[in-house]
Amino acid sequence: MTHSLHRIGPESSFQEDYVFISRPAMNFNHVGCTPKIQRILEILFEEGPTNMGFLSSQENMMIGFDQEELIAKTEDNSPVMACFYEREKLVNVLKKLKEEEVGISVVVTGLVDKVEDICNEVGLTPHSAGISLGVLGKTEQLPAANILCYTTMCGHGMVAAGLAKQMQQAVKDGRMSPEKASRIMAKPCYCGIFNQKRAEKFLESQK
Amino acid sequence: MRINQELCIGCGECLPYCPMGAIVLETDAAEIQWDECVECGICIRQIECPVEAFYESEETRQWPRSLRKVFSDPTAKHENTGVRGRGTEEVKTNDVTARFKRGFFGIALEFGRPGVGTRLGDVEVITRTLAEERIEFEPCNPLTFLMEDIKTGVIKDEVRNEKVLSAIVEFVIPQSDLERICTKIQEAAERANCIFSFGIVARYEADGRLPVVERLEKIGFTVPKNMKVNVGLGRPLKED
Repeated sequence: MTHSLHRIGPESSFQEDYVFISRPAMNFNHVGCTPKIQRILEILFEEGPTNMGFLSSQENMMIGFDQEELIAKTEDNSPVMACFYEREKLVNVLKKLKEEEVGISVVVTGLVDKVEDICNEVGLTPHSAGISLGVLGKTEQLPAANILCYTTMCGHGMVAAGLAKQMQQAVKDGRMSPEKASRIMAKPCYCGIFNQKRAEKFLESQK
Repeated sequence: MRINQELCIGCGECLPYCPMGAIVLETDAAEIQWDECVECGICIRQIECPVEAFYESEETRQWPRSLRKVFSDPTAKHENTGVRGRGTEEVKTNDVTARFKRGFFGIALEFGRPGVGTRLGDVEVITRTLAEERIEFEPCNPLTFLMEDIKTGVIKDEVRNEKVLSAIVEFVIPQSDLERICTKIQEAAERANCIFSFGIVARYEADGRLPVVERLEKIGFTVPKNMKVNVGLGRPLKED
């Protein structure tokens, strides 16, 4: 119940940040789903997300992958995970999924007003919402907020605070461009929902 | 994970990549602080070690240390617990499963995230409290499997010291219990020796509203605008 739910950062930083996750429901509608999941992948490849990842092959768009090979390896329970910086691309993906009646569940994480607007535009009725109530407990253990904005973009916590600090410093020192630093940070995130364009903006603003 | 001390050249390139900050360079060769390592595997997969000094030792696969990998490495499966994944599909497939129906809320407390990790025994401060409130823990969740007794929320002795990147407590409550359970969780959090991310799942009402937001704000939560929305594309759509 977590993954993309607990991204941290100022509200303005979510203006161009949409996480897309689609997966069949195990033991409900997953049997025989492979062609449907393959179609979702094709639609995503056509639109071109900002990032996309695959836990099974341990790849994402920063590492690089072979589209045909991934489609061929798809199984009935394969999840599809991506993120978008551009709203219109996400709208196009959802429109196609609705028109083609693919029938696999989709969650979109983003500013709720914007996601509801998108649903309205596409003709979808939002079903349920996951809501973050923040971090509780011994919060003095947490890295600083200007580091958490990077590390919480990986759904499995694979982007280390140490790496974020190193990249932040390299950009501040002028040793690395924000684009290159954000791409390096995105590599350990195999779920592919690390939005490197959002990271680039943070790096620019933290120079 | 281990670093082969004979091979390591002490370049230090690997140090920033560990999500737990468990790789240290205090001598000529880097070392992994064994008790702090959660076996997430990012070092062996992602770091381009020039001498390929990282390796997974036999101990990593031995119980109870083997739990670290399955709770921390997203590419691993929960073979020890018999449950796949860190938790349920929760809101992701709720349009098809109706796991969370109108009139109920789903709650997930993800311990150790973001970026700190947790000892499995540290989760108990919350699970005991929840058990006292007669919460029924999600059976299809690997952490529930590690409880000595799901009626008390006590974690098995043999696994208490294992450090993991993420462990999720999941359960469902009737809507009427929202304020009481949230307050209990907040109170227990004051005594916690660890951190946890607090999430809740709610069904949209038929008129498109999410009244839970107002109720949460009334009891002091700042509800962020960033939410995870199931857009209702799953079929067959399971009605409440």
